[in-house]
Amino acid sequence: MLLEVNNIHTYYGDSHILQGVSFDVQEGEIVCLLGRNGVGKTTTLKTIMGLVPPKQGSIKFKGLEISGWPPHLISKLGISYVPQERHIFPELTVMENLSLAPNLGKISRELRNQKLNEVFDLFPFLKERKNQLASSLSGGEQRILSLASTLLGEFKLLLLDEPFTGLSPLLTAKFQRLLKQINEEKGISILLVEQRALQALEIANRCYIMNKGVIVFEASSESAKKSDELRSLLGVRL
Amino acid sequence: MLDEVLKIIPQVLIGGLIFGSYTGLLAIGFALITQSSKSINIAYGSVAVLGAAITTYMQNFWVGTLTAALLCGPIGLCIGFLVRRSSKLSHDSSYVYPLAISFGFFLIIQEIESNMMAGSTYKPEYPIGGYVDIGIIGLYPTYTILVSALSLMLFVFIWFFLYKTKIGTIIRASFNNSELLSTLGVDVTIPIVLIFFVSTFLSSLAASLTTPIIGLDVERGLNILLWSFLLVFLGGMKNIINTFVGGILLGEAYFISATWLDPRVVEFIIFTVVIGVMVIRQKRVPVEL
Amino acid sequence: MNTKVNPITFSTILMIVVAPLLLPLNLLTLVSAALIFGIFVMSLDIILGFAGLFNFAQIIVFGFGAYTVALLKIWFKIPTWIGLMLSPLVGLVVGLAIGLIASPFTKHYFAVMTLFMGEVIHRVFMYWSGDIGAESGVFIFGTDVHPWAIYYLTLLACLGSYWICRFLMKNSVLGSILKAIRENEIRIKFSGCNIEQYKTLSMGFSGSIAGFAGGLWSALFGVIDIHMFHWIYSAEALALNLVGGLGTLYGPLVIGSFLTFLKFVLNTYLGAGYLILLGLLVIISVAVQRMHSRFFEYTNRWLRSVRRSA
Repeated sequence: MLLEVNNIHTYYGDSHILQGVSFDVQEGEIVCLLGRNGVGKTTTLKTIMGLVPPKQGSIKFKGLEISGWPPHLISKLGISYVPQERHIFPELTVMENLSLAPNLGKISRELRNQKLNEVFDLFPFLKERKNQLASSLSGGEQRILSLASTLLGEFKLLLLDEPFTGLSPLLTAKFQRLLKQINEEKGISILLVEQRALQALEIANRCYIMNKGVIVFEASSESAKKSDELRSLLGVRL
Repeated sequence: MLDEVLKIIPQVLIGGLIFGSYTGLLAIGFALITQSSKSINIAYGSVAVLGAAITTYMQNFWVGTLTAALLCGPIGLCIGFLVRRSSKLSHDSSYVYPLAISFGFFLIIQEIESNMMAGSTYKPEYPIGGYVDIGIIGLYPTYTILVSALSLMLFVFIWFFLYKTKIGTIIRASFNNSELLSTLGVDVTIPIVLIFFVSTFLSSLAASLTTPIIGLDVERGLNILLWSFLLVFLGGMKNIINTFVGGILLGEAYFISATWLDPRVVEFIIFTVVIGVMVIRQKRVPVEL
Repeated sequence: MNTKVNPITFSTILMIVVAPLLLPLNLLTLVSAALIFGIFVMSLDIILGFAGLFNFAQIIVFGFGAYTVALLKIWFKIPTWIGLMLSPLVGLVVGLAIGLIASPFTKHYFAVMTLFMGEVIHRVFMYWSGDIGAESGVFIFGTDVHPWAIYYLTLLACLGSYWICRFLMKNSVLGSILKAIRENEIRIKFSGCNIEQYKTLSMGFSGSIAGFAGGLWSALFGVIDIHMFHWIYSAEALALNLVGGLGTLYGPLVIGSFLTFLKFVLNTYLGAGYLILLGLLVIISVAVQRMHSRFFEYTNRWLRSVRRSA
């Protein structure tokens, strides 16, 4: 069991956002967390990452209790997080943003340069604009920058908050391939929160659905895709 | 007649450069602290002047300057921390409480200073006497030249540190988005503590060193705040080169006009013009913190 | 209808009304002065408490109001009470003027801009006071309104301005907009309101109250000086607001008057420490912010029950 979340309750002031969330992520899995707006998906990720400490419950990473830990220590354990908004440093250049990848200090220089070149091959515009301020990129390009700079880092578990939102279908497909690739080749586990359920289910092994601060549905992505309950919970037709 | 004018012009130019360089340095410290605490530190000038005041109580000028700066650093740290803390306590859109904290410190420190100085202006002797012969321009006090050279060097050093080193990148990232930075494995309290301490330390240093040149009185704290804010607003909070160069330009304008106008009139004109410029700028492109 | 009068409330009101008979003149003057300053502090509550903006230039408005009364007497021999009636108008104009210049700015920048403007105007008065006819900056003009009259007028002004402000903030568009400005200025700009106009208007309105307070001050003492334009008095008033309870109106009025009165009375002992005390109070009241707002909830409820029984 890589990540074990057990009965967490998180509050924003007096608002009881997470009301007893429990789920897990196994090694080498891709798990997606779905649900309508406002059910607490982003809060769940933020709680795991230590940005919002839970009032109750436990979070275990590789058996180690991490709830209440500060984000930078959680990051050092090997969890990486890509937020939905405020996901880049606007006043730093593209290159400086890329240089701030998680745990970059742990990998050797050659490996770092190799990864950088891979990223530049995948997204040539990043190379072209590498000395420009990140704020000069469009919304979608900034999203790519944030995902790309994460991929340059070293981690075992990747938390993604709505990674496909704001990307064109081509880029979404590119990212889906990328995520599948790092999952299969490097055994990195991924927990992804998405509104675009179909795109998430295409790469995920399992899925959970949240509603009003709790998990209400769990299934493998295969059976989820065929489920009618899913449709009513998410309010969309797949 | 022409001879005298020719002699005065370079003197005035250098004078402006000197004035502008430490004004610019103080403005940069202000910009850094403001970006780090996400709130305008009203007490900034007052803390710097407190350092200058403490220096005057010491026997040895240099030891005094250093000691005062070391004492002010923690004060700046304390203010900065409380400001950051209170902006997390209150709901996101309220800026009043963080500003109120630096305001509270401002009141306390100003009152302490007015007790220490009691309405008089203090202007000690230059700690390093003597003059430097700068060729055709003639003689210039060594001390003044030293202080402005130091300011220029510090400016270059700060710029280099912030923009060309890894730590500098991390510090600038902490201004932008400290939450994201913490998820990348960086303990954000480190760059923040660094900035609060170092900026306050430097501002106290600058105020102490320039006391023999411009003198020390109760109003100086507010003066430093106003000039720093002015330069930072015009030059852009994030752009320290603009701020520093702007300081030099404004310093020149001040000095040149002060040769035939009363300096108080000059300051009034500069402030009024700047207010006008700021209003026009703000109407075109609204700026917020 | 059975209206029961709360004895405490009744005796307090009685004492306030007959105070001039009970107190020696100099003490009465101090009480009036403290109340006048309290009105000045309350005028800032509209800006700080409701719109959430720090206005360091308010003392300038106060000063203009005071000078109106003084200069009209000195230059044109116009009786004090006419000057007094004109002072709110002067306050309105000056408040609007400052508002026009400062309102494009938001939050922190607004605060520093008012600090700037206040300082510039203050220096103008300081350097050129000789030209207006007073070398040392002090004008003695001799008020021709009786201190008792000032006292009752001040009481009326306290109550009147409190009720007017309260009415305006609760029931008008201006009030709601100011509160919205405090919450999220950018957001309401998008809903089509011309924020700057409302900011300017509120500065004009609070300016008229501050101007009237200045006039009262001038009419009370018969002496004014340049130094009243110093920004430190705005700072004092803002601090009293923060300590008194933002947005309550009565909090700044009552606590402002009370602490100012203490300052006058204990001047020889406190002397140099007043601002330090205020500064500490500000920091403490912010630091215990959550407890602070609950304290005022309770005070509010208690006052309401007192009013109901009175």
